[in-house]
Amino acid sequence: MAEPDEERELILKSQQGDHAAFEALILQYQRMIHSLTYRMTGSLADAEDLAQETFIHAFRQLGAYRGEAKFSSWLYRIAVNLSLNWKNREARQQKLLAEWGEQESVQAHPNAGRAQAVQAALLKLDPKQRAAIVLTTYDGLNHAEAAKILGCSETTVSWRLFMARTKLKKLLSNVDRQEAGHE
Amino acid sequence: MNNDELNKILKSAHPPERPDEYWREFPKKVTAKLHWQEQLSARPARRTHKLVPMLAWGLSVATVCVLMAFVLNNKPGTEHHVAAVPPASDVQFDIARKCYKEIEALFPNQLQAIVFDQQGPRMMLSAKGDVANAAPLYLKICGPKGCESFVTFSGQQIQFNGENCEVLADAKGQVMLVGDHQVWEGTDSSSGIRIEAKPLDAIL
Repeated sequence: MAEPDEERELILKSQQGDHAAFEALILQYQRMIHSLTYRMTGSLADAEDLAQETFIHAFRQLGAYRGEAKFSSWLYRIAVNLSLNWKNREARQQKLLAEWGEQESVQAHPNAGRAQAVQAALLKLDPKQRAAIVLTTYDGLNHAEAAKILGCSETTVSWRLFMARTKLKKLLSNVDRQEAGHE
Repeated sequence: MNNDELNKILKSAHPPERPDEYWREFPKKVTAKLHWQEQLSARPARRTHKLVPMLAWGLSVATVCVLMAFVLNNKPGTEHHVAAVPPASDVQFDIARKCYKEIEALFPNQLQAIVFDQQGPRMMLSAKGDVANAAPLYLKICGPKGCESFVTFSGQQIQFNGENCEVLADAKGQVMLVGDHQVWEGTDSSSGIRIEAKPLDAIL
């Protein structure tokens, strides 16, 4: 898909090493990338680190970007790959889950509690299943687009989604009941 | 629960909000890192013939950081390399000066300190942009565990010897570090700590 002229111009300038142009691109995509990295890690600090890494990798690899894919998809691919390889992931997740377990008892706002429950459930998924859920459910990509970003077949994406949804339904069944209770 | 109900629950969970200031600063943070990495990767390239074993590590950022640590820390066993290149202090000052100029331009009145240790350079920024416009100091502190270098200002705090220490400089450029339990100044033979300080302006 063709890039808008302005974006193409920014990409071209960034490819020539123009940091100001690259800042403009970051400004455009930073929230999207932060959302992805937050949902993949469950940590604001890790999400920020990963988002920074994503843009730094992107700048370094920009010379290889030829515009065959949407720039956003290309960025997504970098962010997903970095998230899947995020070091110390397991240890950090365990720490987060423990922290959230402690917070649950003092959490007053029902919606905040639900957000934490959802994030905790996402973190219990296999990272590749989590990435499939994040890309399709939160970012609205279809299976073919998600497959390109994840570097696998559409069938694999479908299977990962099926597995992820099955597990999430089980993990979030209490949240569903609580909602019914509130209504 | 069907898929639609699950999607509804998933979508109701939003990532925590960040302040607008964060989004304004984030692109600058990224390009500041890029600036740094470009500066740092340019320097060892000019010294290829002196650092062949190091360059074998590749062109990754990790290598750049290792080379920076090599340049900025007078670790035992590396003296013979340093002696063969232009005076180490000139190299250190040059890097410190460039880092300072780059960061101060990007984050005016926010820079509290730049730390050069074995993990590479790190910057400490104030969120409020309330750092007084003072003359920058170049500090090199060597102790039993090795050396660390800093670019900072009188009145700022740095982490040293496991303590938060306030940096105090007088008009003659003499510097003391005031920790919660101890004060360090110049060469302290009892603790094996040596502090060198110079105004960074002198080398600009």
